[in-house]
Formats: sequence, structure tokens, C-alpha cells
Amino acid sequence: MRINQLSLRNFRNYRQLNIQLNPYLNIIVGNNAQGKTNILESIYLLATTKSFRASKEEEMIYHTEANSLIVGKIQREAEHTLEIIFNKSSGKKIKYNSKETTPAKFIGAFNVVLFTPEDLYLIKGPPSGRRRFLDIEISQVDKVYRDLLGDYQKTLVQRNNLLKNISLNRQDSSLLEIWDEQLIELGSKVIIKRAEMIRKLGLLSRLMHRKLSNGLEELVLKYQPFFIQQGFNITEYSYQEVTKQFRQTLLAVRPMELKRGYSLVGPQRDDFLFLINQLDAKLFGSQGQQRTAVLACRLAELEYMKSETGKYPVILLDDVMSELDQSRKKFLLELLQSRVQTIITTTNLSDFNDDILQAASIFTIESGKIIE
Amino acid sequence: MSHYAKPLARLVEELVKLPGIGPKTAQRLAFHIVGSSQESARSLAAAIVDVKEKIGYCSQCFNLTDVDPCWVCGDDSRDKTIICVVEEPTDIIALERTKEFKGHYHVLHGAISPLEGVGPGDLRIKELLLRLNEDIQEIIVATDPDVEGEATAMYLARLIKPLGYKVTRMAHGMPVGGDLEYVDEVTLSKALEWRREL
Repeated sequence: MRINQLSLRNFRNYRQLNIQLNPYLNIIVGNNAQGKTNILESIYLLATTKSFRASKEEEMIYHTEANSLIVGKIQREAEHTLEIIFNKSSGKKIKYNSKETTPAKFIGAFNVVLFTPEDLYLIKGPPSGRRRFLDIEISQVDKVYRDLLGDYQKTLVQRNNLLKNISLNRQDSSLLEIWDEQLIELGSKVIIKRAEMIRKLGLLSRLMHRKLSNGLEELVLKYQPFFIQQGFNITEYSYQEVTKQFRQTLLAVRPMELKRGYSLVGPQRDDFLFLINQLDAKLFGSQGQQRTAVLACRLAELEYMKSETGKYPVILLDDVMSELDQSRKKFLLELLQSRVQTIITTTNLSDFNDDILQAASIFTIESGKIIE
Repeated sequence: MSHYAKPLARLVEELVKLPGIGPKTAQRLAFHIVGSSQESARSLAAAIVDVKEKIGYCSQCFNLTDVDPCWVCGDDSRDKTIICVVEEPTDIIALERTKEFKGHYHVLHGAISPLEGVGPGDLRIKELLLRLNEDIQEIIVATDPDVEGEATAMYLARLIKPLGYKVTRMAHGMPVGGDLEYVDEVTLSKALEWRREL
């Protein structure tokens, strides 16, 4: 899978951009705050319809304009056109081969894996970031999961409203059961899919990590569904087992939920751990160990997507070279010389050797323009 | 501010309140009415007033009707042992088009949704319970296959099953007459889950 061409109009600081991308390596070079990451962001949007930066959609429109446009020509077996249009008043529109469509039909047509310096927060940060990671990865390869998650969230919102009404004595608690059943059914299916994904990603991460650490360290990804945090345990992720644990936990927190007026348990509280030599990397890992673990996890993501979709995704590397030590840099550069399309931003071309620079297309960016 | 003459502006504003009608469509409809004959404008106005005056709810099934009981409840040839429970009167129209179902209906007028403040007390559920008698053999719950419809179905099952009635739910599944390969993943996975033995 690759992106052949990218066009931007009024997207962030770009008035007009039109680039033909190299099927293998593309280097976007420029000083800070010139718009290098905006290009990666636009490509990421074509894959997921969402930005990886926490920002409002209207910020994606050049400040004096009402519309912005991203168009990508994506090569799979044939070439497809993906388009995203942002409008200040009417919001976001997406088109697949010139026909307007829904995110459900759009996401999955084009897959990317993104590496950024902020990836470290996947380990260091709060569980919400790790859940978002799981949801984005699984959604890119599994449409049923996205639908399941949507229904689960709707059920959760309804149940929270009911709990609030019950806590204010506006409604009696007998109605809770009908929402509990759906919460357990949909939530258990979400958990089973997450467990399966972490199992596969964990195996791949361990292999990658062995290479990166010269076999000295062992990385394990460990899923922590919410009921484990509540003191319940699980032997296997079968539908029967998971629903049983869900039900038990829900019963245990019932009095507390009625008092507080919102849902306290469910996959919205899930987490997963990075264990290095059996120790939690969040608590016991050095900065360097955390960085290696995250890199292994991202590289595993590539292989995971390949195994699920049959094609390698496009790799987006946002200014990560400067963060890596010599051996990891070497490892990553070897990967870049393989046959996976890569788009990489950097402030400094000296991170790359001559062989790489010869093979790559280099785009020099200065305040929202390409300079020759 | 308005670019319309006052009576025209009023009509456009009334039309824009209707579902599915935006400002442009409202303007188009209003200009069409202005351009139509006195007679057809009166006829349209009369039809609107008429429907409000004459249409009410059937006292048994709560479908929309101009006679009570409605044409379904008043039809002695229909099967009195089955009641199909739906959310809205439009669902009856869809089911009647199949010409398959010969039983009776019951319209709930909505689905349970705490978010919108709709509880069982706001639906015609009490009225459904009053209709249950020894002649009834089956209640088919045909609420929508979304989160709220499923919750409503579950509520009804928990209420009615203990009284000794058979309660069934409409199946989710494959569209008829299509190729399996063209069915979307979500529908297909539901159809797999709801498979039946041959």
C-alpha cells in the first residue's frame, strides 16, 4: 500500500501543495514550525479521518479561508482517491473515489503507522492514551470492532443517564438490568477483540524488542481488562468467561454506582502494561528502555497490520531520528531501506547516509511552501 | 431583514419546521404554492387541517387511524393470537407491505432512552399489558435493532415472559436476494451470530 500523490489546499499553513511521493522513501526537511508535521498530519487524516494532534478541526483551515481540502491518491491493487474537506461552518466531509461517504466506509481503505517523539507517552501517560491506541489500531483493520465500540459507547451514555436519574430519585433502579445486559454483551465482545489484538501484537513486539536489545531484555505486553483492576481474574478470553467476570464486577460495584450516579466499570477503564523482564516499564523502566519498548511496539504494529490486511501500511516518522541512539537509528534506517513506503520529517539531513539520500525524494519546506 | 413579502416569509418559516426540509426546499415549496391555483392551495390547507381533526390513536393498538378501532383491530379475519410490538406507526406500514403478517399490532410510540428522558412509563406499555389475555399465544418484539430498541425489547421480555407468554424477537441478518460477498461486515457478523440450525 502506498500514497502516490498528495494535494493540500488551505490546509493549516499550506495555501497550495502538490507532491508526487516516492514509492519508498520520502524525506521532508525544514526548520521548526515550517509545516513539516502538517504534511504527516494530512496523510494520517486520510487514513483515520482524525488528527493525531489534540486540536479543533477549524484549526486545520488556513485562517483567512472557509474551506480546506486534502486529496490523496492511494495505490492498492488500483489507484483510489481519498478526499477530506473541512468547512468552518458545516464541518468535515469525506469522499472515496469522488463519492461522499461515511467514516465507516472510509477508514481502512488506507493504513498508516505513525512514530512521533510523543510516543513515549504511550508508556508514561495515562491509560486513556493506550486505549485510544488499541481502538485506532483495531478499527483500522476490523470494521466490526468500530461498530461494536460505537454501540457500546451509546449503551454507556444511556446507562450513565439512567444512573444519574436514579441517584436523583427520578427513576427506580429496576430499569438498570436491561442496560446491564447490553453493556455486558457489547463490552465483553470489545474486551475479547482487544485481548486478541494484544496477544498478536505482544508476540510481534517481543521479537522486535529482542532484536533492538540484542536479546538482553524480554518485552511482554499484558492486557489489563477493568475487572483485573477490581481484583477479579480470568483464565481465558472466551465469551462465557468474560461475561461472567463482567457480571460479577458489575454486581460488586452496584451500590457505589447507584450512589455516584455513573458507570464505574467496563472496557472504558481498560489498560495494558509494558513489562520489561517482568517489571512494569511505566514504573521501573529507564527513559531509554521505555523508548526501545515503544519503538518495538510501533514496529510490531507494522507487522500486525500486514498480517491482518495483507499489505504493509505507510510509515510516518515525525522527527524521531534525533531521539534515538546510534544502534537504534541504524536499525530503523535498515527498515527504511526495505520496501515499505516511508515519509519522514527531519530538521537535519545529516541523520542520513549518502545511500539513503540518493534513493529518497527530498522535499524542503519553508513556511508552507516547497522550495527547490 | 427578510427578502420575502410578509405572508410568504411566514409560509417559508412554517415549512422549514418540517422534518427533512431546509431553507432552500422551504423556499421552493412556498414559491410553488404561490404559483399554484387558488383551488389547489385551499385543498392543501384543508388536507392539513383535516388530518389534524380526523386522525387519532386507535384505542387498542395506538396506531394512527380515523376510525376506532382501526382497520387492523377491526378486521375479524386477522389472527388475534399474535401481537407484533413496534416503535412507530410507520413500522406497521413497512410490515404490512410484506403481506406476510396477519396478526395484530401494538405501537409503543418510541423506545426507552434515558438520554432523551423516555422511560417505560412514557411508552404505551401499560396499554399492551391490558391487551394480554388467554387467547394470545405470541408477542413478537419488532423494535429497531439499535441500542435503544434492544433495551426496550429486553424490558418487554422481562415483563411479559414471567406472565407465561411466548415472546420472540425479529432476527438480524442477511438481506435477501443479495450475494454474500457484497454484504457489509457488520451485518454479516450479526447474521453469523444469529444463525439457525437446518
